[in-house]
Amino acid sequence: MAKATTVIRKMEIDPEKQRKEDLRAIEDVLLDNREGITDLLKLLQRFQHKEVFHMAESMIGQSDKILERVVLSMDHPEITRSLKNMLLLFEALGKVNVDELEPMIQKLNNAVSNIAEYDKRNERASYLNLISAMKDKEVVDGLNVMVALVKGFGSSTNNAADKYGIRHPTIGIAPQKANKWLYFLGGAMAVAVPLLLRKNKE
Amino acid sequence: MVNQFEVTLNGNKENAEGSETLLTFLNKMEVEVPSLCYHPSLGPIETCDTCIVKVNGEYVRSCSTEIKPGDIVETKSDDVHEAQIIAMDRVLGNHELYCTVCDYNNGNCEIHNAVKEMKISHQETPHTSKESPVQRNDFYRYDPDQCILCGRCVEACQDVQVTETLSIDWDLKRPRVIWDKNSPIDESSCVNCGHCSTVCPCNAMMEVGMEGEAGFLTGFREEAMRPMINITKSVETGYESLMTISDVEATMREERIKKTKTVCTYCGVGCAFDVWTKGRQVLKVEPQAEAPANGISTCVKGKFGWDFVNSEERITRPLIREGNEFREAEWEEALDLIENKFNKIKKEKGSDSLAFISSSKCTNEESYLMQKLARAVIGTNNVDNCSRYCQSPATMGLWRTVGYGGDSGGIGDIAKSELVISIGSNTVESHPVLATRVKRAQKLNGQKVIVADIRKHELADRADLFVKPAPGSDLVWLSAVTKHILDKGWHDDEFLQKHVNNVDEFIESLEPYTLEYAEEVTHLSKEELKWIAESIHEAQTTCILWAMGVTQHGGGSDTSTAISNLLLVTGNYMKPAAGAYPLRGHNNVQGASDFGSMPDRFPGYQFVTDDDVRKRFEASWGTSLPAKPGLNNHEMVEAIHDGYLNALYLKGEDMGIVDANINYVQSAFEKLDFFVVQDVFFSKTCQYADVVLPASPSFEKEGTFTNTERRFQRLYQVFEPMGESLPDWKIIMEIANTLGADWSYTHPSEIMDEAASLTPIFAGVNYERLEGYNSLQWPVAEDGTDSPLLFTEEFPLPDGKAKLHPVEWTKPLEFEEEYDIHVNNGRLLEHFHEGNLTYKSKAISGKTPSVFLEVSQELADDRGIEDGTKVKLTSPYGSVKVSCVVTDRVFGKQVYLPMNTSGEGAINYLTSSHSDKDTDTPAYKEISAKMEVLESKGESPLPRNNHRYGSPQPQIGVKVEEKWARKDYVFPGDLVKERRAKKHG
Repeated sequence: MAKATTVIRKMEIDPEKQRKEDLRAIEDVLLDNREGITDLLKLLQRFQHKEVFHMAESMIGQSDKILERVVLSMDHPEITRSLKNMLLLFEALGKVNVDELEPMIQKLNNAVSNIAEYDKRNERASYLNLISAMKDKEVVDGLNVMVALVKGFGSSTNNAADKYGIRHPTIGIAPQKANKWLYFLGGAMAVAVPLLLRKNKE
Repeated sequence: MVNQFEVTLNGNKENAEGSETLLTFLNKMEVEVPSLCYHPSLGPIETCDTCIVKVNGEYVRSCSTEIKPGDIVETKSDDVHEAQIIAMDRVLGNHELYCTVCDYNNGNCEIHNAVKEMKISHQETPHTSKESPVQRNDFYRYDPDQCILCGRCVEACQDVQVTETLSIDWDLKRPRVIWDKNSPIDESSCVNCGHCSTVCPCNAMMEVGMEGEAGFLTGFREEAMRPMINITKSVETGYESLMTISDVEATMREERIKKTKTVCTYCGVGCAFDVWTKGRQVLKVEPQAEAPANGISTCVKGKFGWDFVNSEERITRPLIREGNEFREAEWEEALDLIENKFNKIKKEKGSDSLAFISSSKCTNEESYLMQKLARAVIGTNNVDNCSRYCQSPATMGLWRTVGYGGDSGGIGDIAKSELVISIGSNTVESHPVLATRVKRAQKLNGQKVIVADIRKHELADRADLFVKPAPGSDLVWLSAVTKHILDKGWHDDEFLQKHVNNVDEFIESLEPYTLEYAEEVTHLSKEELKWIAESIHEAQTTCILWAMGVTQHGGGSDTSTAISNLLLVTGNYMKPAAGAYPLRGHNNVQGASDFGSMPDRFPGYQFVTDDDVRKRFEASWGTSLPAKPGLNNHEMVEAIHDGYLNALYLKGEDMGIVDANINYVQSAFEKLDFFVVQDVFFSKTCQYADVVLPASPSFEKEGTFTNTERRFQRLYQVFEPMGESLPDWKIIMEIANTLGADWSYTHPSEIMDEAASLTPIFAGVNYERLEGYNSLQWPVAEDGTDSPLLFTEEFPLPDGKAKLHPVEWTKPLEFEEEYDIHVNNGRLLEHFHEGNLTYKSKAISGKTPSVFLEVSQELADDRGIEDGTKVKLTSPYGSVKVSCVVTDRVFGKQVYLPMNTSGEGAINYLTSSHSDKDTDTPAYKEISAKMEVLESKGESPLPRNNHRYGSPQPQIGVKVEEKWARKDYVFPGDLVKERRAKKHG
């Protein structure tokens, strides 16, 4: 004759026994990962030495406030523009053709040496010297290079855009050869701060 | 024969076919065209304009343009691209791209993906706020500033779910989605089915479970979120960096968020969906278009009702009774106790002194093991399941007439039918997703709907004809309609001659069922009866849907038989979009019986008395099996009272609250020598047990369920079992092995293989064929061919012919005059049965916190009742106390008491042990009571945030014409034309 009951006595777990079981489980994990844990401990010691933990603890402890301050202070046109410029410059760097630029730099170096030498000689400037210099092959080459440079500056920006994949500052098609990693870096910089300071979940 | 023709696509000749849309054709040809408002399950909505292409020189929306022979289609020209970009730019003016800090950034944001595909780097139209606050409730939220006004949510709400709550107010300066007549969500008619958030292409309409949880960077406080978005947007040099970083973040999420396909554990529709989880946290339920029964649809329970899985009230250790209390125990001790008690009782009192009750909540494999345990290990056929409480009469009616006890077709057939007749089925609340298909077909495709019910539920309210027969009189009007059809010569003579036996005898049996007699008994007018007969005659296809309003009567099997007779006479079997649909109530009530948890049948409805069948099972199981049919649930209770049944093992069934006349049932439990109950929660039934075993719910196991369409579907494990709980199949195997069975199943697939090898109608069922969203509808031939249509060539009866089965009306129980209130009972949308699962959901309970009694205005006026009045109902078998809600859903002295409580309002304190004469299914619907007002004033049990107070605003779709008529709207194609003309002019 079993009468209805809602009384349930919970199983009493011996705390000592439970503790032993838990410790045993931790021991097993430690032994299974001996090498990795030893390396990790060494690294942690260095962190300790450099007070990294104190810093991290303080940052995480105050992460909500820090995040708000950082984010609010960053949310100004000057800051965001400088970040944007930095990213644009970074992108622009990717468009420079260093292979072709190298001989040009060599030439520029030579030119700088010549200028230094010219300054040292302290010669008096004369039209005759200039005309006689026109016979010099190096001077002719140099002038041709300068003409090419000037021509390059004068070419249409549309052509340049087509050749180098520069975007128009309006809605449109993105460059075909866009460097994904560059975009990733750009984006990553934008989100790096909050990623580090993300608020703790309740 | 599909019509094939040639078209020119971007200069190349290609073949197109049929009457497909241009967008379908382009997708097939793998030509990418953006299409933000288009969803394959919703069809063209035409709001976003991003799918513009050129056909024969004209700009058109490809989603809504039918492709025709000879069409010249351009998708890649500059002007087409320009038009698409204009459309996309407008979209971006409505949606702020802060993908990395967005919870919807999971690789499936369609705006994100379109921006990426179209290689858009900047937008011309700046994003601006719609200056309207975020709307939210405990289920989902709507952010107008993220909403692109695609109208998918509106289309889904209006024409798929057909609750008709959402619309877009195109007259506003900045249009946005509104609820009813611009109410807050919680004051609207929204039923929280989740369709809107499922189809939303972005984060505008989103499940609150996702908020701040899905992303690595989405848990910011409001104060930091806005500056963060500003910084991200100011710093970005174009959208590429945003897209790249957010793609990386989305990929990282894949490591943390698990998406598991499962099958819903509530009603019998069999909705399948992916569950998104983070650890043990459910983020959201995401139905998939490929889900065979439900597609993109869910109801509030399937979409949001999963809190119970992680409830602290779960039983997580075995419990053993000691006197008048339980103590937690180890599995070993519980199993030893079961072994000793079962063996002792079996030895002293014989195998038949033990009985087993399986569950319609458990898997097919678990039903199979339960009956195998009873038959092969204990040696008794005393095994049954809860379909005894609901569906056995429907099955009986079909067995008698057509041979198989299952739906004639699938849910798709119901949707395609010209005429749907629903009898005694509150299907909008009981099988919500199935009901949406009927509502949609009626609204959009002109399907005719007839409802016979005593309560004006939603489908009744929408019906073309709603008739209110006297309670328990359905057999009479069904027979009268059948007779009228025969008298008029509207029967399908050819079908009857070719496929049906016993026609003459049946026609003779209808003699008493004249229209006059039916009018007198059922209170339906002759005109109504004739209208029903004419409707069936005029329709090419008729489906009849029925449920507990038919089956839970003294003549439930006979009424079910009368339904099938009517369908046979009118030739509404053996063809698509027609037939009999007994709507199954639980997720696996079909499978529980299919897999042999029945006292007289092995799996696949093979008789235990059939020597050949028994020998086959004996050979496989290596033991002799009892030939005498066992006891059903109802008989078990009797046998306990009579002292013949001494031990009971019951799983996943709160029999002490869901069986009829529970005072009688509970007193039987008290008489048992040994009672084992296996459940997820400590139910009312558990209170009487000697041992309670902790089981795992569907999220914590693998297996298969069979839905109302006879459809097998696999569920995959979402979580590890909580605490010491175990999947039922493992527990049954442990018990069997303790008793010496030596079973060695390592996975449910092995159980299915064994069952299929012994059951001809499941011969081709195996887990490989059910991988992912694949499904099979039984019978399944060995080569895997299944049967979406149950009857095609013949019926599984002698001669291959169906049989018209004459039936007589059984009068419902009559009560003494003092019991003057007829107590109808059934389900509510929000809660499932006694509610031990759904009340665990804070969101659902917040809307519907307790059971209530629906009372008519007439009765309320007569007895001085108002919303919140507490009454006591007393029947000859017991009494309940419950608060009232006055409504026009019920009439006169009929009240409606939902079954959703195990407390003092539980309906089965009122019901009797009277049952269907053929199946012993309790006659739950035959109950009358007297009413006494206990407290005249009180708080309404139905809070104001319940959807029943809402005011739906029906319309077809999103009314895009109103958008096009706005002064600020110009079709992007026209804009491009104008620009080009200026340029060249």
